[in-house]
Amino acid sequence: MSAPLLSVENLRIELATRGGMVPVVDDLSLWLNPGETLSIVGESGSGKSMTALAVMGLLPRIGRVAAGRIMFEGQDMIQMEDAALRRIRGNQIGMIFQEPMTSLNPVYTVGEQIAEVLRHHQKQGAAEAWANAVDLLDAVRIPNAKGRAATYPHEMSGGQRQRVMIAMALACRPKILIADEPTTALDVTVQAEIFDLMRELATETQTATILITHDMGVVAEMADRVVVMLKGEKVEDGTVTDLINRPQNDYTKSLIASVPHLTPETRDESEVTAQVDQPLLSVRDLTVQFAVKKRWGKREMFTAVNGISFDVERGKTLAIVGESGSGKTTAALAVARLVAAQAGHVTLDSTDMLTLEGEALRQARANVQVIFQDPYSSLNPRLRAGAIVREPMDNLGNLPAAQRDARVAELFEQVGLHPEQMNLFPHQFSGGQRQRISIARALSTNPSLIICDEAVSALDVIIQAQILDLLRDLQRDLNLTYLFISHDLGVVQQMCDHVAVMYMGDIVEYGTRNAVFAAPQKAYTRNLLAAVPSVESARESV
Amino acid sequence: MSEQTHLKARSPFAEAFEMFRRNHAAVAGLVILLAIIGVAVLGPVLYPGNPFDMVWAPFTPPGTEGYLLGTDYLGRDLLSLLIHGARVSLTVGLAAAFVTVTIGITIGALAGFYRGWVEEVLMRLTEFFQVLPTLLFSMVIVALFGASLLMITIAIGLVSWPAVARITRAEFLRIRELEYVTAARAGGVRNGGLMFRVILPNALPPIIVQAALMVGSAILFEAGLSFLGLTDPNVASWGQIIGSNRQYILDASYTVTVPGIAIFVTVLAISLVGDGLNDALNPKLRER
Repeated sequence: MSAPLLSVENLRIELATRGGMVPVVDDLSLWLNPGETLSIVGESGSGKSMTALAVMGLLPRIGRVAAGRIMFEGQDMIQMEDAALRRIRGNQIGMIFQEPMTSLNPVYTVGEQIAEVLRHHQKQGAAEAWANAVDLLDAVRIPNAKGRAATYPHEMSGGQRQRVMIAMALACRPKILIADEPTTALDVTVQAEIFDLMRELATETQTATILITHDMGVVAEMADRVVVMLKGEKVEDGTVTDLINRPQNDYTKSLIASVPHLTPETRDESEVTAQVDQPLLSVRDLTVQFAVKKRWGKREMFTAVNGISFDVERGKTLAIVGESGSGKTTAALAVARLVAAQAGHVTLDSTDMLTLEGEALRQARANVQVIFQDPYSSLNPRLRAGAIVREPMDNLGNLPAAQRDARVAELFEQVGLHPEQMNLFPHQFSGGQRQRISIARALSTNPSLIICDEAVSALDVIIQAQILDLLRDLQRDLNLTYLFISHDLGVVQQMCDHVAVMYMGDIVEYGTRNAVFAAPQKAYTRNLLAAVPSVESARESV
Repeated sequence: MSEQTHLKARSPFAEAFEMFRRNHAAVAGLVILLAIIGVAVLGPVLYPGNPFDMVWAPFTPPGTEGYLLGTDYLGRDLLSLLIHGARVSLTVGLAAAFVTVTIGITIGALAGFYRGWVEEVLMRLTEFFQVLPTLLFSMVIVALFGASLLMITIAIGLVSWPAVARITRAEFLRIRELEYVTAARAGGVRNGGLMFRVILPNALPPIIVQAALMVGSAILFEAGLSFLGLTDPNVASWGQIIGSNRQYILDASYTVTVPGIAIFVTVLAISLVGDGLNDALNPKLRER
């Protein structure tokens, strides 16, 4: 084998914090051969992105490389002058970032932004650079590339913007492409398209790729070799087939186990299909429209939820899945009367939710609570954890004031927190702990329906599994009913009894978990299921 | 988790205070400001007597035995005027800032929370006050309703609140969309509670900074009105000292310079404190 294209030797990266220099990457060694795809996998805070930034010489101001070498074509990039580094960066090594919404400059057309790279690095003239930019957009399969080159980033979808980013990164035919969670912000079907594109381009151009991700399924589908990182250190590395089939490290095993396999073992469904006379929640022809302001004060209605119907039985979970913009969250919030519905009927516990007004509506809120997606914005930063959990009890319900603190302590224990932590403020908790506080708050009024709005989407896979376990345990112990909103089919499959698949405001498929996952009837559902990365492709057949 | 259980609760404001303490300029400003407030509160006790009494020959230069800062054109002790004036200037500054913040928060909160026609009406009203020439408008109020300290305070408050209303509205528009507000609504909190117990405490940091700077500008505003003679002639304030001595600015410049320096130092101290608050309360600057 020829010499590696890039080799990182005993890299140590430190960040300056109030407590002094803290290592975020320690003693990391890896190498990248020409034309191969190396994946660095780990959860947030594992140092995988810092490693990528160090290779690009783009560490944040508070960070520095404390030890080690980054060798590229026989030169140590850490010792290099800024000017020399700039010639490599973007020219020999390209980079794609996670967030396609903010990594393009909104005031220039996409063609200008690609051409700029070519003019700067390849010293091409304006006309030549523009022509090449159009070719590149064509290469990343943007339809009508000539016309689209003159559009601005906000006129493109997230997937198209990520294609533009790839075109820009590949503009100078770099030897290495670094992709930092390139599809995490995208829908699963778009992710599949982007990965197809990256694979094709890698074979065409023989570009070596470093793919940074948290998803073992992505690794299995994309990478040749993989490095697993945990808390700044490499815990395991090897070829993808070796690692997936014979993981040595416990952490690697748990990462692999967290990837959904969507061909379900047929679960006993007698319980699921058992007929209950009256569902807890019954939704009929629910329609939600938003007014969209057009120019000159003209208003137009946008239909987010288009007359959908579903039932949820007591003690069961209905999952609503769909991609961004499908209306799944809007529908759930309309059920809880947190978004106004234009038409339809919502019957919860034989109460007609949509006709309630004023004080009656406020009291009815005790019966339906919500667990939100983002553990960083769903807790009021100015309140102590105990007060956050207590708030619904102070406003609703009939528990005497003297018993409320005892109830808060009990709830803290139920969700796996320590009652002593009641006095802490939200920013003193980790993401998973914050989500536990959210769950305790939702339980505080003993609601009959709990809406989980992407409740685990913002969490690392291992934490995600813990929170899902907690939700399942609570459901069993307290006979809870969940309306579970998610874009993540793996999570849905673990949680639900029934599934409703939403697309553009309509429910396109609705049935029991096994029926939908094992024998999807609609093409859209089949596409959605097929797009989910799985480790199966790397499994050796026995 | 076990390590977390023994953590001390650190409220966001406690952390902000920690940040403020590290800003030496802001701490210096705070010390100066506290000293000036101390003088204003204790001054009349330490330096009794009516400051308007003619006590010595006019235009006695500073440094004269018994008259540290000299006397003005009527032979009044400048130090006495300055000490008694501190009380008025600071009171007007604080009271005007209070009026400003009260009107501004109410209008901004209602506009930002309810949106729709409420916002339209309130923001048009805000713009109306914003485009009025401030000095002229306050002069009209004072001329119409008399030059009492209360009227001056109200006049300053009336011309200054639009800035606070705009900041409050912007913060409300941002915070009302956050999930913890929806969570509070799901938890049965009424509209009034959402506005003033959930959103407002989180919107306060930039408003506090603006209010601190408002105190400084209100002191300047009062000085400006006094300089023009639109003030209560029976109450000593720094602006009034400058105004009444302005004809002698070439012959006895110290009569104008001394109160001028007092205004300058006070407003500077307030600005430093405001700047420190901005750094301490703005989470984006916190990790620098």
